Amino acid sequence: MKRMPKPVVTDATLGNWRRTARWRRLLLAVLVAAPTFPAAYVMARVLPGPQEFFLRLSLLAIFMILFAWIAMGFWTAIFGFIALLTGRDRFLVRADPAQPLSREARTALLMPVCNEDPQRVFARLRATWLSLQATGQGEQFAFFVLSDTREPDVLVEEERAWAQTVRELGAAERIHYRRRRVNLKRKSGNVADFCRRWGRDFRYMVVLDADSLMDGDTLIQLVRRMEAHPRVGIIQAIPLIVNATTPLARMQQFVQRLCGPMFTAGLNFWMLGHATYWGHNAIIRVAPFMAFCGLPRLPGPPPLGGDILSHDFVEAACMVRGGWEVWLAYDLQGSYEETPPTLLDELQRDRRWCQGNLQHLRLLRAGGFHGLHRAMFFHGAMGYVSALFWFAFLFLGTTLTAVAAFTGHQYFTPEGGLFPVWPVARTSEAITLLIATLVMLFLPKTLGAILAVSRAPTRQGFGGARRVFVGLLAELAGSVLMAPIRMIFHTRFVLYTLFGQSVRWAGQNRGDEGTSWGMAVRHHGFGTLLGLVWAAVAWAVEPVFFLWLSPVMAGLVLSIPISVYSGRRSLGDRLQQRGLFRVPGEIDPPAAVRASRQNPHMEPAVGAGFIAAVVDPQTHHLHLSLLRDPHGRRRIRWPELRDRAWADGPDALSANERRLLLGDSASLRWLHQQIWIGDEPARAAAWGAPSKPHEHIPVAA
Amino acid sequence: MSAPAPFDCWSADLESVLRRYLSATPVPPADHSALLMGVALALAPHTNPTPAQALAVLVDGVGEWLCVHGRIPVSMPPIHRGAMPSLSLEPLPLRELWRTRHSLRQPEAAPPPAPSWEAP
Repeated sequence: MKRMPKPVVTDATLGNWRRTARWRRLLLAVLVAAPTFPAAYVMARVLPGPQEFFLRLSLLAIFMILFAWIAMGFWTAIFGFIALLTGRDRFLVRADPAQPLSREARTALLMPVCNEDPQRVFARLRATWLSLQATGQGEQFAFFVLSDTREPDVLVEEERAWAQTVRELGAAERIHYRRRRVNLKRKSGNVADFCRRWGRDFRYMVVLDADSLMDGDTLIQLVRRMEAHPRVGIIQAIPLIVNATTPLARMQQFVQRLCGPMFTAGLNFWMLGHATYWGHNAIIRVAPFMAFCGLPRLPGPPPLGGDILSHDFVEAACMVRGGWEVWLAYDLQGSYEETPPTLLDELQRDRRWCQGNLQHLRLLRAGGFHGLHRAMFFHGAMGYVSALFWFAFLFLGTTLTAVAAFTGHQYFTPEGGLFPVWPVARTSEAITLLIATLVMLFLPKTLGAILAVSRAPTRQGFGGARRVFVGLLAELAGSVLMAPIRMIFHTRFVLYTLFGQSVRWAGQNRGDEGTSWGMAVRHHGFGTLLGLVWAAVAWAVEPVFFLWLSPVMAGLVLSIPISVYSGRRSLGDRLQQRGLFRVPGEIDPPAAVRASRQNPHMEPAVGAGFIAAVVDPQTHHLHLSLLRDPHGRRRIRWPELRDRAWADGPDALSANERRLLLGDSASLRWLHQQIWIGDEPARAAAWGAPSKPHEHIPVAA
Repeated sequence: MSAPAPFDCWSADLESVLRRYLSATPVPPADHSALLMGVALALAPHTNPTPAQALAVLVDGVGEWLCVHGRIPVSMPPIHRGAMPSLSLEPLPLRELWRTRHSLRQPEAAPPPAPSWEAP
């Protein structure tokens, strides 16, 4: 029987990329396997002692997983290096930059927020808005601040910042604010709620994070590319880290600028139209997103069941499952994000990501996903599970060395034999293996540095070739010291998740408060102690083994000062003055980045947060206008709470009680009037109301 | 000679309450008299209103003033309630998984039609 020919899927500019993708993925698999098996063979030879078969086998299995893991990163970087060096990439979603936008290409910019600093959120939104207006094509875009904020003071300040921004920008019908009362499915539920309510009004949506920033030209380019490629469901722009102030954030910013584009170009090499989505700074075609990317709850309780925390990977997989393409646009500039300022903030974020990525393991066998996305689910989980493997590898290595040291070499095996088994020194093989591993680990960063200095504008942006390589060495030292700290925390996160401890959903610290010594001792005390004990055991067992382990031990033993100093703003400022970890755009930042650094000056109000919503007339009316019953015509929902608030003042209310009152317009109106009538001056004073006309109004900026 | 304003007969205490409230609003002093006049007209003429009655009217008046002067923005465009289907992500047996994987090739040949854009 004659087989029907498969349909050839082509794109006007991308051609039949699926066939190329299959070959490239096969090439990657071969290149990953090629060094892994010889490395495992050498490892098997250098492991001490011929006995302890199962211990050696476990160690070898873990070694192979870890080696394949770093080999994959290595080859991805090599592919990206070649793509960027030659400047040729046939498979990149592009569009004619002069193509005018269709009027129907209406685009919503979504900014989901949850307990973030409202001034910073609106400073970024304002910067994006102004940049978009400067393109002259901003009228097709609308902004939606989608708030899941629960903190009563923060939510009132969000409303104030929104109203002021809208007024100052003259954007009454283009910048919208919505707060959900019930935070179903967290961020993915927040975006889904937007889609259900207003999705039909827009062809595209650009999802931002609370710390995201995008240049107007980049947004226009993204829309143009979507218009030029009607089969594409998502285009992910690569967010560059900006506004880093602490040493840790500056290091992350530096290495991301150095290697980020290269890695992304490498990912694009083998992912092509089956790429993934990182949850923000991406443009999404709304209609297929609504049709295919609604996420159900995973069966079972959290942490491995319930709401899907890391929704972005799953949404990209669902989009491809629906027959649409997902691409990375690594060539686009003008997409930015910020990074956590301290190590503890970064680890807090990782705790959430760890749980989300481990949930993906449950989707490995779900129906309809492309094989590559199943691999990406596994890859994402490995980002954290690899820490557990690394820890197990080091622990088993220590155990094996200890066993070998205490039992001594066995010259005659239990099976018997005429000839003794002589101990063989395999130092040169061990050193070869070490060098191969170090090359795999550190060559990608070196290639990133070579790319940076190979072009004059980039080299100058980094402050010259010397600064690039000094920065690279400093970053390598820093990352070597921090790697064991992250290993310990990630191992704990994986174990917490596997043993059923769920993560609490809270806003992320994006400020510069730093890490106090007390907090560092509390969080890193265990790691320090573990490092000291481990170092002592390694020294007692075999001093040479101690030297092998010393970089790991140094990171653990010094984890407290590393955590404190890496999060110090003053130290970051000093590094900036000396030009260490300088990145392009730091001296002369793009207009959008510069604008995002200026917090809007808030109008004065009577009180701040919850108190302002009760006392300050403008804030009070603004807040009521956003409630379902702005005139308070329905019944008073919380009469006892209202009476207690009036009798005992705002300080007597918990955050939850304040939030309840903020949802009760009748009570708010009653309190507002009681305060301003002035019959009971002592009670009114407890709310901060001025007692005389034109009295000084406390400014809440 | 012009007729006295309706609020001329108010007690000093009442006027003080209302002026104190107005001073905490962004309403410019030039508009204060107009708002007070509005309060007086809204209340029954020739009566001596209590501060609570007068303040309730003034609070509403200030709210309207804030809306008219763009200090309280329009919150959201009209809602078009639409579906966001949740596709099952239940794990499948391996054999079924293999079959589903192959059946996907055909839909990839052409993008699925976009859902209807008509408002319900």
